[in-house]
Amino acid sequence: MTSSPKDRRYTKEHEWARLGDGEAMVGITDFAQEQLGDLVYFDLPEPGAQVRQHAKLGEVESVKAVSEIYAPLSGEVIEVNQKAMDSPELVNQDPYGEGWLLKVRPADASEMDSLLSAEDYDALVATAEGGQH
Amino acid sequence: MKWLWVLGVIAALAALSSACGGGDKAAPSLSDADLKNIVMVT
Amino acid sequence: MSDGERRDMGSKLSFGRGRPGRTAVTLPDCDVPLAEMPSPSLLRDDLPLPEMSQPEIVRYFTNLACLNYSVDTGFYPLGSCSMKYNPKLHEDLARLSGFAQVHPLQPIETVQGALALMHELQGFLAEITGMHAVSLAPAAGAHGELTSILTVRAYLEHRGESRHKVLVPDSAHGTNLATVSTAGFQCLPIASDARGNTDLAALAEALDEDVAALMLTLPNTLGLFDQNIVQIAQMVHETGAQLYCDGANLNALLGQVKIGDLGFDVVQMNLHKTFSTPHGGGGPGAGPVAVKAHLAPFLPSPFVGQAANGAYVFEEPEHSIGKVGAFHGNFGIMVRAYAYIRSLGAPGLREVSENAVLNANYLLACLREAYDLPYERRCLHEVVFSGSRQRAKGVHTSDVAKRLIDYGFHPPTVYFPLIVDEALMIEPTETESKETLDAFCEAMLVIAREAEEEPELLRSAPHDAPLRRLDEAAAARHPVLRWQREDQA
Repeated sequence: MTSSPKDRRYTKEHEWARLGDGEAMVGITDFAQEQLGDLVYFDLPEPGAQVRQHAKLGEVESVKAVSEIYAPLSGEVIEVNQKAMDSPELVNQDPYGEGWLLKVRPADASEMDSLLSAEDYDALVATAEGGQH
Repeated sequence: MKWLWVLGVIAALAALSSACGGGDKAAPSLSDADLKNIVMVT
Repeated sequence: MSDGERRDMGSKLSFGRGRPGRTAVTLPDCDVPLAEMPSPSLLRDDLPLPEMSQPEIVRYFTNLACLNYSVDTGFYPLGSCSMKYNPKLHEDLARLSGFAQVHPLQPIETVQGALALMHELQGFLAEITGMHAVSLAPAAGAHGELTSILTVRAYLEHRGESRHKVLVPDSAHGTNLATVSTAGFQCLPIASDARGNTDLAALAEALDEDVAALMLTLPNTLGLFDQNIVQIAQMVHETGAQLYCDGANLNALLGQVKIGDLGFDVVQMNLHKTFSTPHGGGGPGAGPVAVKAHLAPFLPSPFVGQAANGAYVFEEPEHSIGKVGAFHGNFGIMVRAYAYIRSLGAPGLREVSENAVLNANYLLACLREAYDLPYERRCLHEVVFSGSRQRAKGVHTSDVAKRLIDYGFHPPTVYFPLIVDEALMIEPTETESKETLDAFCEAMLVIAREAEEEPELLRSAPHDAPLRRLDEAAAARHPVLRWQREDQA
C-alpha cells in the first residue's frame, strides 16, 4: 500500500477532504475504490444541499455492491464533479485528483482537526488489510 | 418398497386432481374491442 | 457444435440470419372470403423480422438452448440459493389436468381437490416450522419477507404500539433491508461477532421500545447456526419486539429443529429452494409465511380453511393485511412442494438436511488448506471461504469464479456476504454425489495452484466459454437495453 497524500485528512469510512480557499474538496480514498472494484454510479446531493459531518452523504455503486458515502465535513455542497459522474472510472483511476466527488463550503473548518491524518489513516488501512476475522 | 410409496403419492395427487374440473370451460370470452386492445398493446 | 460455432451462438442474433422470402411454414390457400383489416394502422412494416426456414429456426434455438447452464446439465453450487435437483415426477404431477387446467375464478365446489392440497400443504409447513398458521399467498422469498413484516406491523398497530425500527444483522440478505424500508421501517444494522454469531452486546444496545422486530437468517448467510439464538429470542421478546426468521436457509434445518421452538414468531420459506420447486430464470417462486398464533389473525387473505361439512373454503383472517397478490399464490409451485414433502416424508426430509450439511462440510474439509476460512467452525448447509490469500497474488475472487467456468462448473456466489473479504459462498445441496463434489474440489484446488503459479490464466478467464470475460463495468456504465438495426444505431 502506497501512503496517502498528506495534503488532506481522512475518515474511518474511507473518505477524504482537502481544505482550499473557502471550500473543501471531498472524495473517496484509494483503498475505498480498490475495495469496491469498478465503480459504475454515484448518487450525490445537488449543489445547495446541506451536509452534516459523519452523516450519510450519498451512495456509490460498483459492480460488486452499493455502499454509503459519509460526509467528512459539515457545510453546503457547491459543486458536483460532473466529469466523475459521467465517467465513474475516473474515481478508480485517480481518486485523489481528477476523481474528486464534491466541493463543499465548510460550515466549520475546524472540523478538519477531528479527521485522521494521512499517517493515522494508512495505519488504519494496514490493520484492515491484515486483520481478517 | 420405496417405489410403492411413490406410487401412493402419485395416486394421492391424481385423486386430488380429479376432484377439480371444468377450468377449460371457464376461459374468458373477449369482445372485438378487447381483441383490438390486445393487438394495439402487442 | 465446434468451439467456433459455440462462440458464434453466444454473440450472433437471429437478425441477419436466413434470406428474404424464406419461410418456416407453408400456409394452405385461403378457403374463406377475405376480409379487410379493421384498421390499416394496426399493420407495421418497420420490423425487419428474420426470414428463416424451419430447420434454420429449430437449429438456431436448439443450439442457443444448448448454451444454457442449469442444474440439469451440471453442478450449480450457488450459495444461499439451494440450487437442488428438481425431481421430474413433480412436473408430471403439476401437469395433471385437475391442477393445470383449473381457473382461479371457477366455482369453489369445482376445485375442492386443489384446495385440499393447499390446506394440507399449509398444515405440513406449519408442522415443519413449528408454527400455528401458514399463508401460501406470497409469490417469492422477498415477497414472503415483506408479507411477514407487514403482518408484524399490523399486529403492533392493532396493539396500539408505535415502533419504527427493525434490526438486521450485517450478514443479512440484501432483500431484508429492502423489506424493512418498503414496509416503512427504519433499518438498523447489527454487527456480527468474531465467531460469526450476532454480537449480543450490539444487539442489547440497539434493542429498545422503538424496535418492531429483529430479522435473523438461520442459519445465517455465513452458513453458521447462531449459537445464542435462545438468548436472542429472550432479549427481543423482553422489549416487546417480534423475532422474524428469514427461512431462505431452511434446507439446513429440515427435520432437525423447528423454527417456532427456537422462539421465532414468524418465518418465510422459499419453496423454490428448500422444497425443490424449479428455480431461476425469474421464477415463479413461492414464499409462504408461517406464524405463531398471535400473528395469525393478521395474515394475508385468502387462507384455505375447512367448513363444518368438510368442504374447503377460502377464508379471510379477522384482521388480515389483505391481498398480497392476485388470486391465491403460485399454485403450480405448491403442487410440486406438496409432492416433494409427501414423497420424502418426515424421515426423508431429515435426511435432506443431514446430507446438505454433510456435503457442505466435506467441501470445507477438502478446500480449507487452499482457501482461507474466515470463521473456524463447522458449517451447516453452505460454506463461505475468503479469497484474501489469492488476492495477495493479485487474483480476485471474481477471477477464481470465471476460471471455474473453464472447468465446466457454475461459479458459486461471490462477494457475499459483505462482511467476508473476497467472499466465495458455496452451497452444494444434498442431491450431489461424492464424485461430483470431488470433481469440483479438484477444480478448486487446481485453480488455487494456478493462482500461485500462473495468475494471468485466472485474470483472463474464462478461456473456454461461448464468450470471454465480459466487461461488467461497461455494461453497468453504458447499458445497451435493446437491439437496434445497424442503420438505426
